[in-house]
Amino acid sequence: MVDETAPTASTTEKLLDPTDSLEIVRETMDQFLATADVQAVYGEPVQNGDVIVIPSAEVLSVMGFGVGTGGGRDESRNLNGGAGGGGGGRVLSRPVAAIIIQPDGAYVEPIVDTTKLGLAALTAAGFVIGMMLRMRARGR
Amino acid sequence: MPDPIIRVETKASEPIRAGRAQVIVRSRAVRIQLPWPHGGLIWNRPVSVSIYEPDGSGYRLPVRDMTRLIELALMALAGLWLFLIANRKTD
Repeated sequence: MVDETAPTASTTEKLLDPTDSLEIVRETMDQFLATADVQAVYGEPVQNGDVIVIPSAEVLSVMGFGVGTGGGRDESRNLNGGAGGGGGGRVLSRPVAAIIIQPDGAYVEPIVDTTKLGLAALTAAGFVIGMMLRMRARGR
Repeated sequence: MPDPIIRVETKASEPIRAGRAQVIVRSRAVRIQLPWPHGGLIWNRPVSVSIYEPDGSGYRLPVRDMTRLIELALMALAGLWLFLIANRKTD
């Protein structure tokens, strides 16, 4: 008598095989690593008359993945298994400078992010004030 | 040999025609890639631009990130201020 619920070797392999998930992860990582190219930093040149402007930006990309598999036998000795995965990422970009090319020469015009500087100044001031209050409390 | 976990790469673009001159822009990328594809980080930023005139002369202009320089200066000032205050208290 054949137990039709008994898993075969191919079924077991299919349940626990994470190949497809890993392949997706590898392909996504390859695309992610391709952003380390010069085209990701410099934009298309924009021409207006004799002046050409090339924008530039700083790009920060972060990505992470996780894949897991598991399996076991239940009380009826049936094989159960599963696989799961997840990932996330973020891309941050900030303008840095504009390269101005004119007939009589070229120069780099920096782009100052006042919002970022304001936040940095507030953070620094908050840190300094907090440390000063702490030092004053210790001195008492 | 496995790929290094941390890699710094400087890349140059194809020449861009700007009038009669040719322009080559460069970027530098820091790649951090974990051994198994668990994740990675890429920090890519502009570095310099080279201009080549038709007569063969050329020059390179650095691309400086003024926002980051000012940011670092603010943090350095804050640290210096704390250092001075801490030393003044212990005198």
